[in-house]
Amino acid sequence: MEPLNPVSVSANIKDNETVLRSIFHHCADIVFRPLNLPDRSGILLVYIDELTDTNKLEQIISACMMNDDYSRLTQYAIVHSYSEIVAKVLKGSTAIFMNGLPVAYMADLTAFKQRSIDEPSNEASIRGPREGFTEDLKTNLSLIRRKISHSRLKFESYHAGELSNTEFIIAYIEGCVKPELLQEVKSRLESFHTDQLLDSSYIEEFIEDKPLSLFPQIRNTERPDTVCSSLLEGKIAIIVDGSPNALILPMTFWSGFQAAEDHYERFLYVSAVRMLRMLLAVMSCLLPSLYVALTTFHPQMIPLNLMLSISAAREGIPFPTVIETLLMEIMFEGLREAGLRLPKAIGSAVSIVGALVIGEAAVQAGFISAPIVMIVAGTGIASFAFPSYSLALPFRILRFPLLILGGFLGLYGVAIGIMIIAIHLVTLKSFGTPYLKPTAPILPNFWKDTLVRMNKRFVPAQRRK
Amino acid sequence: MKIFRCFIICSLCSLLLTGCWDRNEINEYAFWIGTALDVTESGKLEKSAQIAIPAEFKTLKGSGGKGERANIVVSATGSSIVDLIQQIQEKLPRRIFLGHRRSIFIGEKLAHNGLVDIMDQFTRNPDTRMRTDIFVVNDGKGKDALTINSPFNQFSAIVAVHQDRYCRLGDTSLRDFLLDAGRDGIRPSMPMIDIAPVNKLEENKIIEVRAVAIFNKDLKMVGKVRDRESLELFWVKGVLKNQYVSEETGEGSISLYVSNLKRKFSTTIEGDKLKVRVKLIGNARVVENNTPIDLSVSSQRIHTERKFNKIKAQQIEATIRKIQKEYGQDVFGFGEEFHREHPKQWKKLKAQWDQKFPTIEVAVDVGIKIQSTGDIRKRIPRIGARE
Repeated sequence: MEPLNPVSVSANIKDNETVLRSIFHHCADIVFRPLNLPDRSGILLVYIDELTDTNKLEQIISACMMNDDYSRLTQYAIVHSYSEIVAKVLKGSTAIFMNGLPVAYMADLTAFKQRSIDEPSNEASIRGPREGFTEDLKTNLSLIRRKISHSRLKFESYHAGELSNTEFIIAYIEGCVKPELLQEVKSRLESFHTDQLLDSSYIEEFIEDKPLSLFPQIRNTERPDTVCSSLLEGKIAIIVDGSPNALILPMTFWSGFQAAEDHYERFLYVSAVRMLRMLLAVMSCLLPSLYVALTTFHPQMIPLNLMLSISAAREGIPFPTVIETLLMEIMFEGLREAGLRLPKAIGSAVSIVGALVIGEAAVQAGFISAPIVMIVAGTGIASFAFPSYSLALPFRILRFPLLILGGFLGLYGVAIGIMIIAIHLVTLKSFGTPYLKPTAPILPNFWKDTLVRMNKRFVPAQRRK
Repeated sequence: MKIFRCFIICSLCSLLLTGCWDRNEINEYAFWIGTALDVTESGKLEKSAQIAIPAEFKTLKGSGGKGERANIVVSATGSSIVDLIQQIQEKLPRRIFLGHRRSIFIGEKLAHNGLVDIMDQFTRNPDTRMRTDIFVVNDGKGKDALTINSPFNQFSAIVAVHQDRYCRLGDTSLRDFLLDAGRDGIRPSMPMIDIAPVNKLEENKIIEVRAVAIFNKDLKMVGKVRDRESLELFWVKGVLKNQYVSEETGEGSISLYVSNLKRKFSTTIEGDKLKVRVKLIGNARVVENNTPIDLSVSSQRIHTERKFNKIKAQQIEATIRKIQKEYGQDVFGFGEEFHREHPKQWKKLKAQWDQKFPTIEVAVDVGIKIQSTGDIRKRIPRIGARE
């Protein structure tokens, strides 16, 4: 931003207008509204049209004018410097200049169009609260505050982005959170510089431990209740203005398998479902590679009848199994990617074409064997069973290197792949917390809410200091 | 970056390992389901292989196409088994895969000649699955068993395995046979299958598993016991799990389904004399009662039970004596029990066990307990009903 000259507001509103007009040169959305009053020479209102509640402004000013009493304006913040005025106007405040007074009154009459509080579309739940974050920071904070009405819940405000000048909030509960963790997060937040902060993912990229890792080290959610329960576990949430996704850190591997609903449904059912999720997670990663490894390297491990069926299905198929599986996996991922952003009407058409062409015609024509279609479909279903979309991504990607390893080296290759992944996971840390906590390191006290969820009465109250 | 380095090192290391490049597409294998071994007229070894044809398997599963067998039997004649495998491979366009072989059929003539030379290959070749079942074909050639066309399964080799299981002769796999062959105090035995046609309908479709072949120390077949005696043999050997037993008690016949079969030996050495007490126990359910006895009355039931056990004990004793006298081979494993209970004397006994075995005094004690008298208490026409 160019240095302003002169710095302080003058008593003459004409001068003020000139200075501000020069600053807001070519800014069509800024409104300069001089009002000529009978006794004084005038009032100048500066605001952004769409961000201001003009009705209310109108009311206030007309009330002042009718009663000829301008003392009402003094309740607003008094600002002397242009830079501050500019910053506030850009955030939606209205600057009120009066002739003869070398100050500006900043009236916060912000009112802009925003989305209402909806059900979170990516993390829907059958039971439990239905509200999700919106793009408005204040609404989001109110959603959290309503759930935790305690003075120990702290919201610390920060700004980042040289151009975007975005506000974001670090939320934590004093006494629940470890001071070292808070210190670490704050120091990382202060150490990065960026021009823009358009979404919470921008912060995520700047502060995560291992940017090259495939696994997400910071959890994101659209649900205020998830944020609240994490805060109570001693985690820290970062909420960015303009982003409906709050960040929760530190993240552990197991928390990626917890859906918000897990804490609302009955615990036995939830435990069963969580185990199913784990099984599906393993399947989504390993099914194609295991199939390829077993059929091409270790047919003695497949039961005879199953193997004869597979063998019969593969009769006359032109491609080797690895290539076949790779092709189908790529096709499937393509189908998913294509359907993701298409309008709903066309999306279903794409999936019909995909299912018909790939599932039906390719098998009939003898290009692809039927077991591969089943394997790919099973893998696809398994990869949709993750409660957290961002944790599903590494499993989706790792499928391909594992598939190639399995195709070249058989089970041996798959085992190497799994070992590399395991080594990576145990060394990974999210803000000082081991990623696989509480399974590596083994902390049985924390197992009551990982693979299974114990009844709440067996889980001790939140560990506070 | 560390992970990349680790990945590269691991993949490079894997290239140093040989033997991992045995990749083969599943439809380029010839799945060898069953083997038959015979001797030819000229004394050479003949090996036949039942090879799966997956394409016909497919049409079978679909709309009942042309293929009925889904397998082909290929034979070769030669001197050693591996030579024969090579010869069979030369007849097939796909790589032979032995990992799924389910059964081995041995012609009776070959069994009489001895199996030592054949077994060496099975124990040495890592492709052999130890759970493969092994049979002697009664009075016939092993090859005939492979050409049986069972309506239940396309592969007669698999039919034999299943039938062995449900005929309650116990799963005698190659591994069990080899284990027995390697011990001093027991002689191997092997189930036998019959393919002699009983009637027109069953011809070339049905095989029977109803006899046991007894082998001596040199793995030469010395004899066979059939039917009831074969079941008793397996009971005393300790491999039988359950069976139906029907006995004439004098007042009519009673049939029991006996499960949880167990056996116990206790051995004594009195000077030169060796004695074995065989205790056989099982839980029974009455499935047929053609006597006027009311089994719901405890005293009558216990009386019947005792009588039944006595008759059964006599029969088993007779069977054991027959095996002692006629074949002189310790298929029951008495020697193993002597070894356990009298390890010092066993050192001397071991060498002359085949001479000692026929002289052992065997006493059998059967302890079948009738636990259930069936759904109905009294017989329908109220014969023998309590007034």
